[in-house]
Amino acid sequence: MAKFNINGKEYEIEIDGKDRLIDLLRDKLHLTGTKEGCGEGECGACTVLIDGEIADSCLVLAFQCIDKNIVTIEGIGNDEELDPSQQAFIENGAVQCGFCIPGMVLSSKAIIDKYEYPTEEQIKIGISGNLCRCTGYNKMIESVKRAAEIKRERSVKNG
Amino acid sequence: MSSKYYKAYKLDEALMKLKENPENSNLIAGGTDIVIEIKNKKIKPDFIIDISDLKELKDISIEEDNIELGSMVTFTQLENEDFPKNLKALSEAAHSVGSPQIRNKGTIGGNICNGSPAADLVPPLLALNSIVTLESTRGKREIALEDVFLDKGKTVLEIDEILTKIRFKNLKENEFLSFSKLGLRNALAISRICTSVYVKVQDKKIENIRIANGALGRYGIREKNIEDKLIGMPLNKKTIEYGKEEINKEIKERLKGRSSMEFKSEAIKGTLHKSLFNALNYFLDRKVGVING
Amino acid sequence: MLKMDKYDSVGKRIFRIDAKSKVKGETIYPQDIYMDNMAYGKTLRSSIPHGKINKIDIEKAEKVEGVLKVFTAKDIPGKNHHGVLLKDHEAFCEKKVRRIGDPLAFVVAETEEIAEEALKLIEVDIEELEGVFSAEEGMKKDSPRVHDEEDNLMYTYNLKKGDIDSGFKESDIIVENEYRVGMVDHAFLQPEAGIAYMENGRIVVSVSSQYPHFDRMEIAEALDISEDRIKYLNPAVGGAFGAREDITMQIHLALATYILNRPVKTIYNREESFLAHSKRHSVVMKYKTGASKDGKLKALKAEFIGDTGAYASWAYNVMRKCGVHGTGPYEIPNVDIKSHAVYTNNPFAGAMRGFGATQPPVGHEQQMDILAEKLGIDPIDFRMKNIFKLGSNTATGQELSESVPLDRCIESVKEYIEKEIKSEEFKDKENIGVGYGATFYGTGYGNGFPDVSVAEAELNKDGKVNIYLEATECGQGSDTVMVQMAAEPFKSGIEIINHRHCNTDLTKDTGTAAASRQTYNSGNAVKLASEKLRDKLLEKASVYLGLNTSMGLDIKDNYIFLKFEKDRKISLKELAEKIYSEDDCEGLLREEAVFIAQTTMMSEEDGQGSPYWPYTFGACGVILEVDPLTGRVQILRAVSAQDVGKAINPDLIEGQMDGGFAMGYGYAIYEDLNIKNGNMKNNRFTNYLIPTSSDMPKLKKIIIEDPESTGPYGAKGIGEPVMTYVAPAILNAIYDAVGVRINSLPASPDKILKAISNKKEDKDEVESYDKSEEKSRFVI
Repeated sequence: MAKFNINGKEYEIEIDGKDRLIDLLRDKLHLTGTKEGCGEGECGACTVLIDGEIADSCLVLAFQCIDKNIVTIEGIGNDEELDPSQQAFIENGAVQCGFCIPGMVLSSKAIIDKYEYPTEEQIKIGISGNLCRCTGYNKMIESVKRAAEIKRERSVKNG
Repeated sequence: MSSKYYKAYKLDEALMKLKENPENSNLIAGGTDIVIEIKNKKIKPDFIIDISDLKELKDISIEEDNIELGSMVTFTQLENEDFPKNLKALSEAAHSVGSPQIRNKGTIGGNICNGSPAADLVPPLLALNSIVTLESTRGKREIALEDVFLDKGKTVLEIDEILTKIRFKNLKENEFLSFSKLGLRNALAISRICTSVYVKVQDKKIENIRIANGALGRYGIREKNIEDKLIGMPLNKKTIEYGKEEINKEIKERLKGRSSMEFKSEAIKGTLHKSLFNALNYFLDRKVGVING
Repeated sequence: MLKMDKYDSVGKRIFRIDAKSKVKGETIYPQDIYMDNMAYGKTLRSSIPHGKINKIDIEKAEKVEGVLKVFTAKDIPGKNHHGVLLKDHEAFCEKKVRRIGDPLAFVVAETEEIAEEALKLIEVDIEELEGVFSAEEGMKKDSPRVHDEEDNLMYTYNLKKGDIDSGFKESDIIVENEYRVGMVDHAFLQPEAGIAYMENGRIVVSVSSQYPHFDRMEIAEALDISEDRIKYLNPAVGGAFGAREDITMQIHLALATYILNRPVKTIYNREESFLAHSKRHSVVMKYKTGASKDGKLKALKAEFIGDTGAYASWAYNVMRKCGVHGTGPYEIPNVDIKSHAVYTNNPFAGAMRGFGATQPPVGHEQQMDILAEKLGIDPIDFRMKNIFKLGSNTATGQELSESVPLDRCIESVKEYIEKEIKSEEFKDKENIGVGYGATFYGTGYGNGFPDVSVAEAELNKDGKVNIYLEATECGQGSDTVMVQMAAEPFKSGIEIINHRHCNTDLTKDTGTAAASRQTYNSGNAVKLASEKLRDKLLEKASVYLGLNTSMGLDIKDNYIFLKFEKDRKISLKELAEKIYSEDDCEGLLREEAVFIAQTTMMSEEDGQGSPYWPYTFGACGVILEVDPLTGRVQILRAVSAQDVGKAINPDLIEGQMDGGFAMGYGYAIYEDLNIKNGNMKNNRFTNYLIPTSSDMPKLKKIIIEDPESTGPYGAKGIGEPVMTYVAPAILNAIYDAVGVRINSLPASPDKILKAISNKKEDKDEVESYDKSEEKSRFVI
């Protein structure tokens, strides 16, 4: 049995060495917010946070994550308050078909966790590993800016 | 068929585990290539050893004479490292790889050991005349990076060896490394061509130059014929034009009969142009060793 | 600027109703469905582009432990066929394969891994036949036939207006060029996946679709059962762009669950997704355009040769649309267009955003710039002299009787570009280019085909309104705009509407989510249904309010009230309670409305008629830089102006404009399936390149409103037109930057570099000649 920390919860699961992180998340835990779009790290739909850094969960074997903190789209925001990135993507009309969105939102979170005032260039690079065919990215880029703003507003409010 | 796994935290543990059954073991570092092969069943591993968390291989050490990179240093680490201006190209090369997700996971060691013709870090490391360290329970050996590659996807590594370090000489004020990549888009782009050039100027002349290209052969290679022609010449626009014409001829010959010949022999002039101009501009800014024009 | 207006829900930037569940990762796409006792299916596909099937031996595969059954053509109880127009696809190929990727068998096993292993044990004996791999080859009389009983040249559309010969005689300048656009892929992010299971003796199929009712019909025919034994649940659709119009796995899944009585799921990986669905038609476009010295277009002759690959899919409609849109948005007195669809052994082509109207602008808009240059007229001025205006007649003889704001689109685009090009950034920079494109687009199925949408509105017991319509949400935002349009008659915000998702048991046929028709067609239907229900509620309210008539009653903020005595009112909640407490009330109060668009069938002889309505208009401008050393293009500024009739939700329109720009950009610069002998070499996201965030410029989006009287609240659909003008604007800008015309897409670095080096040696590539030379050089 291998131990995992996913979205702040401890799991003990039987895994095979070949199981990818995405297989663990989707097939074993049914955390289906993490999507598989290409299976080779090109589209970023399977993006998760591993120790705070974005990674393609289709390119990581599950056992490599044994001692790490995994955060998926299900692990951010809550019913009372959405994560700033989630909130901003809704407000800016940045969501279309939605398949890239969980990964995109996590990349957005990683950007605003790193930069308090992200520049447009930092944002474009930060989401460059997440392909989207619907939105042409423009409203997403605006959303990441807005997410940083929401995050700043909230931190002022919460002292 | 199930696969066992081992997550190593120390190099000697990893080497011991690898020694147990080297034929049927696979090492995984960043995983950005091997996981796809496992998924596609091109590789059916019995035993997988994760070396990505070997702490002793995750450092970048910059000393006055030498720079040493642990093989498990990620592209992101390299990208964020505050290299001096004449070595910034290493960060640029790391930044040009894939996407933030890939750069967070992919390692220098993995980039070398996959032996991909389009590995973006190989040309700059070749241009820097890097030496790599290979370790096994049998001991350690050092070998020039240039001698690591045997063919596309094939290296001199023995099955019980791990590439642990990459070392090269730190650059002096009159030395410069540049990097230029032609990918088809601005991110997530595999190199159609990448070129890295190391230049040392002395007495207003190119005292030494090393040019390395990616995606122009079975693995990253040095362009020694061109280097020989440029050594001793002044670093100026005329020399750059000369170099471009020479490399164009060289690549035309090398890729003869291939559909990519026409494009690559033309585009290599572009990447070489950019690399050499970066160098020229650096030296012009510093007023060392070059004459404008 | 958008005008403030009288509307309550319409015209507002309302947050998408599906956004919250999508950002939380809670939206369910079919791959996200896991069921107890679920079996897995894998499809065996042909690796040969054209061949005679001698034998498919499944014996070894069926013996593998854990394999439940291997399905092939002989297992289809009904008709082994499907297809949106002709039934020329087989669910499983029986005698012949016609393309790489044709389905041969479907292995169902306990696990995905077992199914994959068993797939390898199926022994296939296919005798390879000579194939045909380009439409031009396919048109030759002696080319191998893709469908034995039919000519490869399966359709030709003829369009004739005026007298083409005299048109060229009147022309002072004539330019003639050939343009080639290849097949491209939709590359939506969600690969096809689906699940089917049995529920009380009925088959439930859940596969992302653009048209559930049609898919249900195709399944019923193949299984030889009545349609009411199938329930089609449309889960979330992760992008479609036309690729989910032809079915892929639907029959396989339904058949497997029907025979095995277990839930069966399948997921295509990206490579299989490329193999499974349609492509955009590749078209060879031969253009000859003539204009007089004063800048008036006189004649246009064009021939389009479209490759539909192995199957018809929408070939007739696509190539017809290509022909109708061949002139571009210009009044030309003399027109002669032929548009062909040809079978080949390439991947099959079908619907893709723009649907035959995306290809011609690559030709006609470059022709416009070339002519303008020869005439010494500014390309924008030249366009303005010839564009469609109110009252113009199209080449098919259709009068544009309202809502034709193309002039405003072009002028606003020009204004933006002319301001931006003065920016400091571009001073002293070489190899900067400016380019424009203008297009028109006809909405709907067209050509007199009944274009029907049915919607229902129902009063819920709590005073809210349930709407039922199938219009598929593919990401474009139709659920949100439908709710906005349905809510409008009640003037109580969108919260009043409960939207019922696509489920063939609940919703009626709204037609396909295609042809940019949902906002217009289904929007009209849902608006009418809501209005009917509202009127019914006013009548009922008049009774409870003790009035003699419903006249003077109004509705707002969940109340019905008398306009001139506002205290005389009843809340919708109260009204619902009263209605449903009546003894004679059977079921819920429900109103149905049908909307049918008006088009006429064109003459077979000369293509005259009114094939589409309404038309939308748009223009695009870009500023870009070409690196002459590497052939790379970077777009630095971009603007699109789109006529929308009336914007139901500006946020969503902007989203379409951004997405359409990105797709047009990919079409122009990156996307290449690299098909060799029917084999797509670029069939993954590592080699089939679509733009990333780092490639996209900031797009200035200009929404042009000019309400269309037949549109719901004046709206027209814009999902497709937003991409049609992008590629030509980019190509024209490349020419402006480095002086080379790229006549075949994509304008990749290798083509640009080659063109630049050719230019150094050769004289101008573009042919042009004086009128006197014409006779000898052009054979009509």
